[in-house]
Amino acid sequence: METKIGLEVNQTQGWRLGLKNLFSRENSKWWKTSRWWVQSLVWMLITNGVLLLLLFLLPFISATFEGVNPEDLEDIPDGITAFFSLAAISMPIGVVILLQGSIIDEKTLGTAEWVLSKPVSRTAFILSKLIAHALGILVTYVILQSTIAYGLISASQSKPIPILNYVKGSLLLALGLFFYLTLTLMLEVLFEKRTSVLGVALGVALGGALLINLFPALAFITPFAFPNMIPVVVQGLTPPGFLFFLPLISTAFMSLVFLAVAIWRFNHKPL
Amino acid sequence: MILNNNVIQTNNLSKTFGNIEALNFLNLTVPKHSITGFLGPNGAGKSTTIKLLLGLLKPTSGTGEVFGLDIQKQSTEIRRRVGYLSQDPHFYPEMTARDVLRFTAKFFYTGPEKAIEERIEEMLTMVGLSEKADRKVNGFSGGERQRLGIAQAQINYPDLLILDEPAASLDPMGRQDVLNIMRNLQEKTTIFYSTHILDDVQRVSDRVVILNQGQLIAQGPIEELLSAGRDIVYVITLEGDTLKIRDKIIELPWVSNLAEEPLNNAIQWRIAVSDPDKAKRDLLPILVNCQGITVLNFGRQERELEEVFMRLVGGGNNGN
Repeated sequence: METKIGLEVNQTQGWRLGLKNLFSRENSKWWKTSRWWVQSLVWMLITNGVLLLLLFLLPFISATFEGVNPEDLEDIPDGITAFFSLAAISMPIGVVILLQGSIIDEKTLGTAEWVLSKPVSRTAFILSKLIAHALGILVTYVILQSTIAYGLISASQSKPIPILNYVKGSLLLALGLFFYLTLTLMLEVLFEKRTSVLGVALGVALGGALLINLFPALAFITPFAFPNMIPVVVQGLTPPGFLFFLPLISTAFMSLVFLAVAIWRFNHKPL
Repeated sequence: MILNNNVIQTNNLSKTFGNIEALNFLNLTVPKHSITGFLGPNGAGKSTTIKLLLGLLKPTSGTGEVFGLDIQKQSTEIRRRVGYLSQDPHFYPEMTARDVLRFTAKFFYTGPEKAIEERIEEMLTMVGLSEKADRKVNGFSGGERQRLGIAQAQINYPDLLILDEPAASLDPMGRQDVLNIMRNLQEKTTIFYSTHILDDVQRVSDRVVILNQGQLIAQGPIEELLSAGRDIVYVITLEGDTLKIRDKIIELPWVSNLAEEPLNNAIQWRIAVSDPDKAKRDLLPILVNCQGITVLNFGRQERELEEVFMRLVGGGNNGN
Protein backbone atom coordinates (compact mmCIF):
# COMPACT_ATOMS: atom_id res chain seq x y z
CA MET A 1 0.00 0.00 0.00
CA GLU A 2 1.17 3.48 -0.68
CA THR A 3 2.41 5.56 2.20
CA LYS A 4 1.63 9.17 2.83
CA ILE A 5 4.51 11.47 3.71
CA GLY A 6 6.65 8.49 4.67
CA LEU A 7 4.10 6.91 7.00
CA GLU A 8 4.58 3.17 7.39
CA VAL A 9 1.35 1.30 6.90
CA ASN A 10 0.38 -1.30 9.47
CA GLN A 11 0.61 -4.61 7.63
CA THR A 12 -0.57 -6.85 10.47
CA GLN A 13 -3.14 -9.42 9.45
CA GLY A 14 -5.57 -11.74 11.17
CA TRP A 15 -6.45 -11.97 14.85
CA ARG A 16 -3.48 -9.83 15.92
CA LEU A 17 -4.68 -6.79 13.98
CA GLY A 18 -4.89 -3.88 16.39
CA LEU A 19 -3.75 -5.97 19.37
CA LYS A 20 -0.61 -3.97 20.09
CA ASN A 21 -2.42 -0.62 20.09
CA LEU A 22 -5.34 -1.89 22.15
CA PHE A 23 -3.11 -3.67 24.64
CA SER A 24 -1.05 -0.52 25.03
CA ARG A 25 -4.16 1.41 26.00
CA GLU A 26 -5.47 -1.28 28.37
CA ASN A 27 -2.04 -1.66 29.94
CA SER A 28 -1.69 2.06 30.49
CA LYS A 29 -4.99 2.01 32.39
CA TRP A 30 -3.23 -0.23 34.89
CA TRP A 31 0.22 1.30 35.14
CA LYS A 32 -0.26 4.96 34.22
CA THR A 33 -3.14 5.52 36.61
CA SER A 34 -3.65 4.95 40.31
CA ARG A 35 -5.08 1.51 39.70
CA TRP A 36 -1.88 -0.44 40.28
CA TRP A 37 -1.05 1.01 43.67
CA VAL A 38 -4.68 1.12 44.85
CA GLN A 39 -5.11 -2.56 44.04
CA SER A 40 -1.75 -3.37 45.65
CA LEU A 41 -2.68 -1.50 48.81
CA VAL A 42 -6.17 -2.96 49.07
CA TRP A 43 -4.97 -6.55 48.78
CA MET A 44 -2.06 -5.89 51.05
CA LEU A 45 -4.47 -4.81 53.75
CA ILE A 46 -6.94 -7.61 53.14
CA THR A 47 -4.46 -10.51 52.91
CA ASN A 48 -1.17 -9.49 54.44
CA GLY A 49 -2.81 -7.20 56.95
CA VAL A 50 -4.74 -10.16 58.30
CA LEU A 51 -1.62 -12.30 58.15
CA LEU A 52 0.30 -9.72 60.16
CA LEU A 53 -2.47 -9.75 62.72
CA LEU A 54 -2.49 -13.51 63.03
CA LEU A 55 1.25 -14.12 62.99
CA PHE A 56 2.49 -11.25 65.10
CA LEU A 57 -0.16 -9.08 66.66
CA LEU A 58 -2.33 -11.74 68.30
CA PRO A 59 0.63 -13.70 69.76
CA PHE A 60 2.04 -10.40 71.01
CA ILE A 61 -1.24 -9.53 72.67
CA SER A 62 -1.50 -13.01 74.11
CA ALA A 63 2.03 -12.82 75.52
CA THR A 64 1.73 -9.27 76.80
CA PHE A 65 -1.69 -9.05 78.36
CA GLU A 66 -3.05 -11.14 81.18
CA GLY A 67 -6.38 -12.78 80.77
CA VAL A 68 -5.70 -13.97 77.21
CA ASN A 69 -5.67 -17.76 77.08
CA PRO A 70 -2.85 -19.02 74.81
CA GLU A 71 -4.93 -22.12 74.03
CA ASP A 72 -7.40 -19.89 72.23
CA LEU A 73 -4.67 -19.17 69.69
CA GLU A 74 -4.20 -22.82 68.81
CA ASP A 75 -7.26 -22.81 66.55
CA ILE A 76 -5.94 -19.93 64.50
CA PRO A 77 -4.68 -21.26 61.18
CA ASP A 78 -1.02 -21.22 60.41
CA GLY A 79 0.33 -18.45 58.18
CA ILE A 80 0.33 -20.46 54.96
CA THR A 81 -3.24 -21.64 55.36
CA ALA A 82 -4.41 -18.22 56.50
CA PHE A 83 -2.88 -16.34 53.59
CA PHE A 84 -3.70 -18.69 50.74
CA SER A 85 -7.20 -19.58 51.94
CA LEU A 86 -8.09 -15.94 52.40
CA ALA A 87 -6.54 -14.99 49.06
CA ALA A 88 -8.26 -17.83 47.19
CA ILE A 89 -11.65 -16.85 48.63
CA SER A 90 -11.46 -13.04 48.46
CA MET A 91 -9.36 -12.30 45.40
CA PRO A 92 -11.84 -13.81 42.90
CA ILE A 93 -14.38 -11.28 44.16
CA GLY A 94 -11.86 -8.55 43.49
CA VAL A 95 -11.28 -9.84 39.96
CA VAL A 96 -15.00 -9.86 39.17
CA ILE A 97 -15.50 -6.34 40.51
CA LEU A 98 -12.44 -5.10 38.62
CA LEU A 99 -13.53 -6.60 35.30
CA GLN A 100 -17.20 -5.69 35.45
CA GLY A 101 -18.11 -3.15 32.80
CA SER A 102 -14.87 -3.67 30.89
CA ILE A 103 -16.76 -4.62 27.73
CA ILE A 104 -20.37 -3.68 28.53
CA ASP A 105 -19.44 -0.06 29.22
CA GLU A 106 -17.66 0.16 25.88
CA LYS A 107 -20.72 -1.20 24.10
CA THR A 108 -22.99 1.24 25.93
CA LEU A 109 -20.77 4.27 25.48
CA GLY A 110 -20.12 3.53 21.81
CA THR A 111 -16.34 3.28 22.05
CA ALA A 112 -16.48 -0.39 21.00
CA GLU A 113 -18.21 0.64 17.77
CA TRP A 114 -15.66 3.41 17.25
CA VAL A 115 -12.68 1.10 17.74
CA LEU A 116 -14.13 -1.75 15.68
CA SER A 117 -14.79 0.59 12.75
CA LYS A 118 -10.98 0.74 12.42
CA PRO A 119 -8.86 -2.15 11.04
CA VAL A 120 -9.04 -4.12 14.27
CA SER A 121 -9.93 -7.74 14.86
CA ARG A 122 -12.62 -8.46 17.40
CA THR A 123 -10.41 -11.19 18.82
CA ALA A 124 -7.73 -8.59 19.51
CA PHE A 125 -10.30 -6.45 21.30
CA ILE A 126 -10.98 -9.25 23.77
CA LEU A 127 -7.38 -10.44 24.08
CA SER A 128 -6.08 -6.95 24.81
CA LYS A 129 -8.30 -6.77 27.87
CA LEU A 130 -7.47 -10.31 28.92
CA ILE A 131 -3.71 -9.87 28.70
CA ALA A 132 -3.61 -6.43 30.34
CA HIS A 133 -5.82 -7.48 33.24
CA ALA A 134 -4.06 -10.82 33.63
CA LEU A 135 -0.73 -9.01 33.88
CA GLY A 136 -2.03 -6.43 36.33
CA ILE A 137 -3.71 -9.03 38.53
CA LEU A 138 -0.69 -11.33 38.43
CA VAL A 139 1.62 -8.57 39.63
CA THR A 140 -0.55 -6.72 42.17
CA TYR A 141 -2.64 -9.61 43.49
CA VAL A 142 -0.39 -12.66 43.26
CA ILE A 143 3.31 -11.81 42.99
CA LEU A 144 3.35 -8.79 45.29
CA GLN A 145 1.08 -10.22 47.97
CA SER A 146 2.70 -13.69 47.91
CA THR A 147 6.13 -12.13 48.20
CA ILE A 148 5.12 -10.05 51.20
CA ALA A 149 3.37 -13.06 52.76
CA TYR A 150 6.47 -15.22 52.21
CA GLY A 151 8.50 -12.67 54.13
CA LEU A 152 5.98 -12.48 56.97
CA ILE A 153 5.54 -16.23 57.28
CA SER A 154 9.28 -16.89 57.09
CA ALA A 155 9.90 -14.19 59.69
CA SER A 156 7.30 -15.69 62.01
CA GLN A 157 9.03 -19.07 61.75
CA SER A 158 12.48 -17.50 61.94
CA LYS A 159 13.50 -19.42 58.84
CA PRO A 160 12.62 -19.28 55.14
CA ILE A 161 9.87 -21.66 54.09
CA PRO A 162 10.58 -23.96 51.11
CA ILE A 163 10.35 -21.75 48.06
CA LEU A 164 9.46 -24.27 45.35
CA ASN A 165 6.22 -25.42 46.94
CA TYR A 166 5.40 -21.83 47.78
CA VAL A 167 5.75 -20.84 44.16
CA LYS A 168 3.56 -23.79 43.12
CA GLY A 169 0.89 -22.60 45.51
CA SER A 170 1.13 -19.06 44.14
CA LEU A 171 0.75 -20.37 40.60
CA LEU A 172 -2.33 -22.28 41.67
CA LEU A 173 -3.75 -19.08 43.12
CA ALA A 174 -3.01 -17.35 39.80
CA LEU A 175 -4.80 -20.13 37.92
CA GLY A 176 -7.87 -19.72 40.11
CA LEU A 177 -7.93 -15.99 39.44
CA PHE A 178 -7.50 -16.61 35.72
CA PHE A 179 -10.64 -18.76 35.86
CA TYR A 180 -12.65 -15.84 37.24
CA LEU A 181 -11.01 -13.39 34.85
CA THR A 182 -12.06 -15.39 31.79
CA LEU A 183 -15.49 -16.15 33.29
CA THR A 184 -16.18 -12.44 33.82
CA LEU A 185 -14.95 -11.52 30.35
CA MET A 186 -17.22 -14.14 28.83
CA LEU A 187 -20.20 -12.86 30.81
CA GLU A 188 -19.37 -9.29 29.72
CA VAL A 189 -19.73 -10.42 26.12
CA LEU A 190 -22.86 -12.51 26.65
CA PHE A 191 -24.83 -10.03 28.77
CA GLU A 192 -25.86 -6.44 28.17
CA LYS A 193 -26.06 -5.34 31.81
CA ARG A 194 -23.41 -5.09 34.50
CA THR A 195 -25.82 -6.42 37.12
CA SER A 196 -26.21 -9.68 35.22
CA VAL A 197 -22.44 -10.14 35.05
CA LEU A 198 -22.01 -9.36 38.73
CA GLY A 199 -24.85 -11.61 39.73
CA VAL A 200 -23.57 -14.66 37.90
CA ALA A 201 -19.85 -14.19 38.49
CA LEU A 202 -20.15 -13.34 42.17
CA GLY A 203 -22.65 -16.12 42.56
CA VAL A 204 -20.06 -18.56 41.26
CA ALA A 205 -17.27 -17.06 43.39
CA LEU A 206 -19.25 -16.96 46.61
CA GLY A 207 -21.44 -19.96 46.03
CA GLY A 208 -18.63 -22.28 45.03
CA ALA A 209 -17.61 -23.06 48.60
CA LEU A 210 -21.22 -23.87 49.49
CA LEU A 211 -21.75 -25.95 46.39
CA ILE A 212 -18.83 -28.32 47.02
CA ASN A 213 -20.33 -29.11 50.42
CA LEU A 214 -23.52 -30.15 48.70
CA PHE A 215 -21.86 -31.76 45.68
CA PRO A 216 -18.33 -32.87 46.65
CA ALA A 217 -17.61 -34.06 43.10
CA LEU A 218 -17.50 -30.42 42.02
CA ALA A 219 -14.22 -30.09 43.87
CA PHE A 220 -12.57 -32.22 41.18
CA ILE A 221 -13.68 -30.15 38.22
CA THR A 222 -13.75 -26.56 39.51
CA PRO A 223 -11.46 -24.22 41.45
CA PHE A 224 -13.94 -24.17 44.34
CA ALA A 225 -11.64 -26.35 46.48
CA PHE A 226 -8.54 -24.23 45.83
CA PRO A 227 -8.77 -22.45 49.22
CA ASN A 228 -8.19 -25.88 50.81
CA MET A 229 -5.87 -27.28 48.15
CA ILE A 230 -3.33 -24.48 47.89
CA PRO A 231 -2.12 -24.65 51.53
CA VAL A 232 -1.68 -28.41 51.10
CA VAL A 233 0.50 -27.83 48.04
CA VAL A 234 2.56 -25.11 49.73
CA GLN A 235 3.18 -27.32 52.75
CA GLY A 236 4.39 -30.11 50.48
CA LEU A 237 1.60 -32.45 51.52
CA THR A 238 0.30 -33.12 48.03
CA PRO A 239 -1.08 -36.65 47.92
CA PRO A 240 -0.04 -38.83 44.99
CA GLY A 241 -2.50 -39.59 42.24
CA PHE A 242 -4.15 -37.99 39.29
CA LEU A 243 -7.28 -37.00 41.19
CA PHE A 244 -5.46 -34.27 43.06
CA PHE A 245 -4.42 -32.63 39.80
CA LEU A 246 -7.80 -32.99 38.14
CA PRO A 247 -9.12 -29.66 39.49
CA LEU A 248 -6.08 -27.88 38.06
CA ILE A 249 -6.59 -29.40 34.63
CA SER A 250 -10.36 -28.77 34.70
CA THR A 251 -9.91 -25.18 35.83
CA ALA A 252 -7.37 -24.48 33.10
CA PHE A 253 -9.60 -26.16 30.53
CA MET A 254 -12.72 -24.27 31.60
CA SER A 255 -10.83 -20.98 31.53
CA LEU A 256 -9.86 -21.64 27.94
CA VAL A 257 -13.45 -22.58 27.11
CA PHE A 258 -14.71 -19.32 28.64
CA LEU A 259 -12.17 -17.40 26.57
CA ALA A 260 -13.09 -19.27 23.39
CA VAL A 261 -16.79 -18.60 23.97
CA ALA A 262 -16.10 -14.93 24.63
CA ILE A 263 -14.08 -14.56 21.44
CA TRP A 264 -16.51 -16.57 19.30
CA ARG A 265 -19.57 -14.71 20.55
CA PHE A 266 -17.96 -11.29 20.23
CA ASN A 267 -16.99 -12.07 16.65
CA HIS A 268 -20.64 -12.72 15.85
CA LYS A 269 -22.23 -10.05 18.00
CA PRO A 270 -23.91 -7.10 16.29
CA LEU A 271 -22.77 -3.68 17.46
CA MET B 1 -15.32 -8.20 -7.48
CA ILE B 2 -17.23 -5.62 -9.45
CA LEU B 3 -14.93 -3.62 -11.69
CA ASN B 4 -16.63 -0.29 -12.16
CA ASN B 5 -16.48 3.25 -10.91
CA ASN B 6 -18.63 2.59 -7.84
CA VAL B 7 -16.98 2.73 -4.45
CA ILE B 8 -20.06 1.30 -2.76
CA GLN B 9 -22.36 -1.19 -4.41
CA THR B 10 -24.97 -3.33 -2.71
CA ASN B 11 -27.13 -6.06 -4.16
CA ASN B 12 -30.47 -6.67 -2.42
CA LEU B 13 -28.83 -5.99 0.93
CA SER B 14 -31.24 -6.75 3.76
CA LYS B 15 -31.16 -6.77 7.52
CA THR B 16 -33.79 -8.07 9.89
CA PHE B 17 -33.77 -7.72 13.67
CA GLY B 18 -36.22 -10.31 14.93
CA ASN B 19 -39.48 -9.38 13.22
CA ILE B 20 -38.31 -5.94 12.20
CA GLU B 21 -37.13 -5.47 8.64
CA ALA B 22 -34.63 -2.68 9.13
CA LEU B 23 -33.38 -2.84 5.55
CA ASN B 24 -35.11 -4.37 2.56
CA PHE B 25 -33.34 -5.30 -0.66
CA LEU B 26 -31.16 -2.23 -0.83
CA ASN B 27 -29.42 -1.67 -4.16
CA LEU B 28 -27.15 1.24 -3.42
CA THR B 29 -24.45 2.69 -5.64
CA VAL B 30 -22.01 5.42 -4.69
CA PRO B 31 -19.59 6.52 -7.43
CA LYS B 32 -15.98 7.43 -6.84
CA HIS B 33 -15.24 11.04 -5.84
CA SER B 34 -18.90 11.82 -5.30
CA ILE B 35 -20.37 13.52 -2.28
CA THR B 36 -23.49 11.45 -1.68
CA GLY B 37 -26.06 12.58 0.83
CA PHE B 38 -27.93 9.76 2.52
CA LEU B 39 -31.37 10.94 3.58
CA GLY B 40 -34.30 9.43 5.36
CA PRO B 41 -36.49 9.90 8.39
CA ASN B 42 -35.48 8.49 11.77
CA GLY B 43 -35.58 4.71 11.68
CA ALA B 44 -35.29 4.58 7.89
CA GLY B 45 -32.27 2.28 8.03
CA LYS B 46 -29.43 4.73 7.37
CA SER B 47 -27.27 3.80 10.34
CA THR B 48 -28.02 0.10 9.73
CA THR B 49 -26.76 0.48 6.17
CA ILE B 50 -23.58 2.19 7.34
CA LYS B 51 -22.92 -0.48 9.96
CA LEU B 52 -23.42 -3.22 7.39
CA LEU B 53 -20.90 -1.58 5.07
CA LEU B 54 -18.36 -1.40 7.91
CA GLY B 55 -18.85 -4.96 9.10
CA LEU B 56 -20.30 -3.88 12.44
CA LEU B 57 -23.43 -5.82 11.51
CA LYS B 58 -23.88 -8.93 9.38
CA PRO B 59 -26.54 -8.82 6.66
CA THR B 60 -29.50 -11.15 6.80
CA SER B 61 -29.34 -11.55 3.04
CA GLY B 62 -27.86 -9.88 0.01
CA THR B 63 -24.36 -8.70 -0.64
CA GLY B 64 -22.37 -5.55 -0.64
CA GLU B 65 -19.02 -4.39 -1.88
CA VAL B 66 -16.85 -1.45 -0.96
CA PHE B 67 -13.88 -0.83 -3.28
CA GLY B 68 -14.91 -4.10 -4.90
CA LEU B 69 -14.26 -5.93 -1.61
CA ASP B 70 -16.92 -8.06 0.04
CA ILE B 71 -18.33 -6.41 3.16
CA GLN B 72 -18.50 -9.73 5.04
CA LYS B 73 -15.37 -11.55 3.94
CA GLN B 74 -13.01 -8.62 3.46
CA SER B 75 -14.25 -6.21 6.09
CA THR B 76 -10.81 -5.61 7.59
CA GLU B 77 -9.36 -4.58 4.24
CA ILE B 78 -12.30 -2.22 3.72
CA ARG B 79 -11.78 -0.62 7.11
CA ARG B 80 -8.12 0.06 6.31
CA ARG B 81 -9.30 2.45 3.61
CA VAL B 82 -12.36 3.95 5.25
CA GLY B 83 -12.72 6.83 7.67
CA TYR B 84 -15.86 6.68 9.82
CA LEU B 85 -17.60 9.19 12.02
CA SER B 86 -20.50 7.77 14.00
CA GLN B 87 -23.58 9.68 15.07
CA ASP B 88 -22.89 11.31 18.45
CA PRO B 89 -19.28 10.11 18.63
CA HIS B 90 -17.74 9.04 21.92
CA PHE B 91 -14.12 8.49 22.73
CA TYR B 92 -12.26 7.19 25.76
CA PRO B 93 -12.86 9.97 28.31
CA GLU B 94 -9.42 9.76 29.89
CA MET B 95 -7.76 10.55 26.56
CA THR B 96 -6.94 14.00 25.28
CA ALA B 97 -7.80 14.99 21.71
CA ARG B 98 -4.21 14.36 20.74
CA ASP B 99 -4.30 10.92 22.42
CA VAL B 100 -7.46 10.02 20.50
CA LEU B 101 -5.86 10.89 17.18
CA ARG B 102 -2.64 9.09 18.08
CA PHE B 103 -4.59 6.02 19.18
CA THR B 104 -6.57 6.08 15.91
CA ALA B 105 -3.50 6.65 13.76
CA LYS B 106 -1.72 3.67 15.24
CA PHE B 107 -4.32 1.29 13.89
CA PHE B 108 -3.23 2.39 10.41
CA TYR B 109 0.43 3.32 10.77
CA THR B 110 3.35 1.87 12.71
CA GLY B 111 5.62 4.88 12.33
CA PRO B 112 7.70 6.91 12.16
CA GLU B 113 6.49 8.73 15.27
CA LYS B 114 7.42 12.14 13.88
CA ALA B 115 5.32 11.64 10.75
CA ILE B 116 2.37 10.44 12.83
CA GLU B 117 2.61 13.48 15.11
CA GLU B 118 2.76 15.77 12.08
CA ARG B 119 -0.38 14.18 10.69
CA ILE B 120 -2.08 14.63 14.07
CA GLU B 121 -1.19 18.33 14.11
CA GLU B 122 -2.51 18.69 10.59
CA MET B 123 -5.83 17.16 11.59
CA LEU B 124 -6.12 19.25 14.73
CA THR B 125 -5.57 22.39 12.67
CA MET B 126 -8.08 21.28 10.04
CA VAL B 127 -10.87 21.01 12.59
CA GLY B 128 -9.83 23.94 14.76
CA LEU B 129 -8.85 22.00 17.87
CA SER B 130 -5.16 22.86 18.07
CA GLU B 131 -5.58 24.91 21.22
CA LYS B 132 -7.58 22.18 22.93
CA ALA B 133 -5.42 19.31 21.79
CA ASP B 134 -4.20 18.43 25.27
CA ARG B 135 -7.52 18.74 27.03
CA LYS B 136 -9.30 15.56 28.11
CA VAL B 137 -12.16 14.54 25.87
CA ASN B 138 -14.60 14.17 28.76
CA GLY B 139 -14.55 17.96 29.03
CA PHE B 140 -15.46 18.51 25.36
CA SER B 141 -18.74 19.90 24.17
CA GLY B 142 -20.81 18.00 21.60
CA GLY B 143 -19.54 20.21 18.80
CA GLU B 144 -15.92 19.70 19.85
CA ARG B 145 -16.40 15.93 19.93
CA GLN B 146 -17.91 16.17 16.46
CA ARG B 147 -14.86 18.06 15.19
CA LEU B 148 -12.56 15.53 16.78
CA GLY B 149 -14.63 12.81 15.15
CA ILE B 150 -14.07 14.34 11.73
CA ALA B 151 -10.35 14.59 12.44
CA GLN B 152 -10.02 10.95 13.46
CA ALA B 153 -12.08 9.86 10.46
CA GLN B 154 -9.72 11.62 8.10
CA ILE B 155 -6.42 10.71 9.75
CA ASN B 156 -5.67 7.71 7.54
CA TYR B 157 -6.21 9.52 4.21
CA PRO B 158 -9.30 7.37 3.58
CA ASP B 159 -10.49 6.52 0.11
CA LEU B 160 -14.03 6.61 1.48
CA LEU B 161 -15.31 8.86 4.23
CA ILE B 162 -18.51 7.66 5.89
CA LEU B 163 -20.06 10.31 8.10
CA ASP B 164 -23.18 9.75 10.14
CA GLU B 165 -24.73 13.16 10.84
CA PRO B 166 -21.44 15.09 10.60
CA ALA B 167 -23.00 18.51 11.16
CA ALA B 168 -25.12 17.54 14.12
CA SER B 169 -24.30 19.43 17.33
CA LEU B 170 -22.54 22.16 15.35
CA ASP B 171 -23.43 25.83 15.26
CA PRO B 172 -23.95 27.45 11.81
CA MET B 173 -20.29 28.41 11.53
CA GLY B 174 -19.22 24.92 12.47
CA ARG B 175 -21.63 23.45 9.94
CA GLN B 176 -20.17 25.69 7.26
CA ASP B 177 -16.67 24.53 8.21
CA VAL B 178 -17.73 20.90 7.87
CA LEU B 179 -19.27 21.54 4.46
CA ASN B 180 -16.13 23.31 3.33
CA ILE B 181 -13.99 20.43 4.54
CA MET B 182 -16.17 18.02 2.61
CA ARG B 183 -15.92 20.07 -0.57
CA ASN B 184 -12.15 20.30 -0.23
CA LEU B 185 -11.81 16.58 0.31
CA GLN B 186 -13.86 15.60 -2.73
CA GLU B 187 -10.85 15.45 -5.02
CA LYS B 188 -9.04 13.05 -2.72
CA THR B 189 -11.83 10.84 -1.49
CA THR B 190 -15.44 9.76 -1.84
CA ILE B 191 -17.84 11.01 0.79
CA PHE B 192 -20.97 9.17 1.87
CA TYR B 193 -22.81 10.90 4.65
CA SER B 194 -26.17 10.77 6.33
CA THR B 195 -27.94 13.89 7.49
CA HIS B 196 -31.25 15.47 8.32
CA ILE B 197 -30.17 18.92 7.17
CA LEU B 198 -31.54 19.03 3.62
CA ASP B 199 -30.14 22.47 2.99
CA ASP B 200 -26.60 21.11 3.47
CA VAL B 201 -27.28 18.24 1.09
CA GLN B 202 -28.47 20.61 -1.58
CA ARG B 203 -25.46 22.87 -1.09
CA VAL B 204 -22.65 20.35 -1.11
CA SER B 205 -23.81 16.99 -2.50
CA ASP B 206 -23.82 15.92 -6.08
CA ARG B 207 -25.80 12.75 -5.40
CA VAL B 208 -28.61 11.85 -3.09
CA VAL B 209 -29.93 8.55 -1.75
CA ILE B 210 -33.28 8.57 0.00
CA LEU B 211 -34.34 5.75 2.27
CA ASN B 212 -37.68 5.22 4.00
CA GLN B 213 -38.72 2.32 6.24
CA GLY B 214 -35.78 0.27 5.04
CA GLN B 215 -36.61 0.75 1.36
CA LEU B 216 -34.71 2.74 -1.24
CA ILE B 217 -36.99 5.54 -2.45
CA ALA B 218 -34.67 7.37 -4.80
CA GLN B 219 -31.03 7.66 -5.71
CA GLY B 220 -29.14 9.61 -8.32
CA PRO B 221 -27.64 12.98 -9.18
CA ILE B 222 -29.28 15.70 -7.17
CA GLU B 223 -30.23 17.73 -10.22
CA GLU B 224 -32.09 14.78 -11.70
CA LEU B 225 -33.93 14.30 -8.46
CA LEU B 226 -34.90 17.95 -8.29
CA SER B 227 -36.18 17.98 -11.85
CA ALA B 228 -37.73 14.51 -11.90
CA GLY B 229 -41.37 14.39 -12.92
CA ARG B 230 -41.58 18.06 -13.62
CA ASP B 231 -40.53 20.45 -16.35
CA ILE B 232 -37.62 22.77 -15.77
CA VAL B 233 -38.86 26.31 -15.25
CA TYR B 234 -37.00 29.47 -16.22
CA VAL B 235 -37.82 32.71 -14.43
CA ILE B 236 -37.19 35.78 -16.59
CA THR B 237 -37.76 39.46 -15.84
CA LEU B 238 -38.21 41.69 -18.90
CA GLU B 239 -38.70 45.33 -19.68
CA GLY B 240 -40.23 46.70 -22.87
CA ASP B 241 -42.74 45.44 -25.42
CA THR B 242 -42.93 41.72 -24.74
CA LEU B 243 -46.00 40.94 -26.84
CA LYS B 244 -44.12 40.23 -30.07
CA ILE B 245 -41.63 37.87 -28.52
CA ARG B 246 -44.22 36.19 -26.29
CA ASP B 247 -45.97 34.44 -29.17
CA LYS B 248 -42.69 33.41 -30.66
CA ILE B 249 -41.59 31.81 -27.40
CA ILE B 250 -44.89 29.96 -26.90
CA GLU B 251 -44.60 28.46 -30.37
CA LEU B 252 -41.21 26.94 -29.67
CA PRO B 253 -41.63 23.13 -29.63
CA TRP B 254 -39.76 22.69 -26.35
CA VAL B 255 -41.77 25.29 -24.44
CA SER B 256 -44.58 23.65 -22.40
CA ASN B 257 -46.06 26.71 -20.78
CA LEU B 258 -45.53 30.43 -20.28
CA ALA B 259 -47.02 32.22 -17.28
CA GLU B 260 -46.80 35.99 -17.08
CA GLU B 261 -47.25 38.44 -14.23
CA PRO B 262 -46.36 42.08 -13.67
CA LEU B 263 -43.40 42.78 -11.40
CA ASN B 264 -42.98 46.42 -10.43
CA ASN B 265 -42.45 48.17 -13.79
CA ALA B 266 -41.42 45.00 -15.56
CA ILE B 267 -42.91 41.70 -16.60
CA GLN B 268 -41.95 38.35 -15.07
CA TRP B 269 -42.27 35.21 -17.13
CA ARG B 270 -42.15 31.64 -15.90
CA ILE B 271 -41.38 29.42 -18.86
CA ALA B 272 -41.68 25.65 -18.41
CA VAL B 273 -39.48 23.76 -20.90
CA SER B 274 -39.54 20.10 -21.89
CA ASP B 275 -36.03 20.03 -23.37
CA PRO B 276 -33.57 21.45 -20.83
CA ASP B 277 -30.60 21.25 -23.21
CA LYS B 278 -32.28 23.26 -25.96
CA ALA B 279 -33.62 25.76 -23.45
CA LYS B 280 -30.16 26.20 -21.93
CA ARG B 281 -28.69 26.80 -25.36
CA ASP B 282 -31.35 28.84 -27.13
CA LEU B 283 -33.70 30.65 -24.77
CA LEU B 284 -31.46 33.47 -23.61
CA PRO B 285 -30.05 34.29 -27.10
CA ILE B 286 -33.62 34.49 -28.47
CA LEU B 287 -34.58 37.01 -25.80
CA VAL B 288 -31.42 39.05 -25.98
CA ASN B 289 -31.60 39.35 -29.76
CA CYS B 290 -35.18 40.61 -29.71
CA GLN B 291 -35.44 44.32 -30.47
CA GLY B 292 -37.29 46.49 -28.00
CA ILE B 293 -36.94 44.43 -24.86
CA THR B 294 -34.37 44.33 -22.08
CA VAL B 295 -33.63 41.21 -20.09
CA LEU B 296 -33.33 42.25 -16.45
CA ASN B 297 -33.05 38.80 -14.90
CA PHE B 298 -32.68 35.28 -16.28
CA GLY B 299 -32.33 32.02 -14.39
CA ARG B 300 -33.64 28.54 -13.67
CA GLN B 301 -36.11 28.13 -10.86
CA GLU B 302 -34.41 26.14 -8.06
CA ARG B 303 -36.55 23.45 -6.55
CA GLU B 304 -35.98 22.83 -2.92
CA LEU B 305 -34.81 19.38 -1.90
CA GLU B 306 -37.11 19.57 1.07
CA GLU B 307 -40.10 19.73 -1.24
CA VAL B 308 -38.89 16.67 -3.16
CA PHE B 309 -38.04 14.80 0.03
CA MET B 310 -41.42 15.44 1.62
CA ARG B 311 -43.20 14.40 -1.56
CA LEU B 312 -41.22 11.17 -1.85
CA VAL B 313 -41.16 10.20 1.81
CA GLY B 314 -44.44 11.67 2.91
CA GLY B 315 -46.28 10.22 -0.09
CA GLY B 316 -45.15 6.72 0.89
CA ASN B 317 -43.26 6.18 -2.34
CA ASN B 318 -41.11 3.11 -2.72
CA GLY B 319 -38.68 2.10 -5.41
CA ASN B 320 -36.41 4.19 -7.62
